[in-house]
Amino acid sequence: MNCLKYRRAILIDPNDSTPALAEHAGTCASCAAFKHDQLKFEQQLNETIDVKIPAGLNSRILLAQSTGKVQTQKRHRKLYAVAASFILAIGIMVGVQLNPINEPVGQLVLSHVNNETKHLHDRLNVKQTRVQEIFSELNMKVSASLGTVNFAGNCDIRNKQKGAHIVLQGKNGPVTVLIMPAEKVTTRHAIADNRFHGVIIPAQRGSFAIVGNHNEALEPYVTQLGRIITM
Amino acid sequence: MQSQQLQFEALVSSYSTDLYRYAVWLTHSSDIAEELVQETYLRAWKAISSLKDSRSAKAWLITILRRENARRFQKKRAEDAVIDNVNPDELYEVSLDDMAIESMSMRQTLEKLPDEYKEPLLLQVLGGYSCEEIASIMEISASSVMTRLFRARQKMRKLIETSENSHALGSNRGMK
Repeated sequence: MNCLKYRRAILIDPNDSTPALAEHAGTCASCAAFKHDQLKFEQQLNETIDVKIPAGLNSRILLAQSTGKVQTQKRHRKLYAVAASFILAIGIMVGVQLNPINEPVGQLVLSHVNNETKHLHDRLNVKQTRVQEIFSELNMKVSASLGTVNFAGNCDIRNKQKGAHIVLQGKNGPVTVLIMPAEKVTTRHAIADNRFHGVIIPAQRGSFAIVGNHNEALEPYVTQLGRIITM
Repeated sequence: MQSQQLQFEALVSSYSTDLYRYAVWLTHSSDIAEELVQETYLRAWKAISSLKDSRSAKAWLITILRRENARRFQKKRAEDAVIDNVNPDELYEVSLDDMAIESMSMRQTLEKLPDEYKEPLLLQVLGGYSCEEIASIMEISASSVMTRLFRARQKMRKLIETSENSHALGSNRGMK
């Protein structure tokens, strides 16, 4: 191999480690230096190409999948702000309040968790017998321990329909489980906002939701709860 | 359905960041890049049953992303859409130490490369693809990919050397 061929090969792929290239570099100091320079250049290139990954990207992709619509970002924020002000102004003018009856279940779950963030800080270490009572009030059963339960209680999910609100100790923070006997869904939904991501799982009676921080893996909870809860 | 959902979620967690980085360089906008990545995954979800071999998943997603970008570009031209003026520096973590300044000049150099050279370079450096894989994604021959990679690096080295020489001349002018 001559120097020209060697340098061409290095410019095509600086990490090419075929024996013929290594052999040439071993006998030609100038080409070895050329490769050294090129690897330094590649390191800089790698640093240059790297870009900030926006927080919650994966959650928004999953949300787009479940809604079938792309979740637009700040390009449209001004437009949204104007539209929101306009809608609010009309609402105030005609004295209309937003009616929660038609609120989609995903929004309902995220609003519920955001409105009850105080429970995310509870450390009540609720006993299994109490968890079973909460489920039995809904005519449901839980057949095994949910792990460390920091909070558990019955709550209104919507329009006085009872459900259960449970906060588990996750690996990266609290994980909220909402049991929603009156909320029927036909397929699994991914949900997300700026703070949380979650999943809504259809059950025989209604559905249940699992919500955690963006860095919390929820799939283990889906598997565990699907196995031990009878709804 | 459940297994497809799990497969899809695995595709999202494994490749979304690589797709996003690639999209930022294609579109020069972090917002458009994210929309493009979401569009890509929406398309991928609709066609997920056609993905038979998980080893080709990343190349499959990149191909979808490139097509979505071409579609977006055509639509933009047709509608003469106005896209925000984006300061490219807003897209990256910039701290003004020496390394960042070097990176900035490297970025400007990369931006100056024609797309036909820039794209295979990004696929190789960001995606870790071989020349044959890039050829398949870009629907060109492997020898064309090699030529483009060679020229891309050659051009970048020349542009950087020229820029460094002009800086050196500029700074020497002020010296006695």
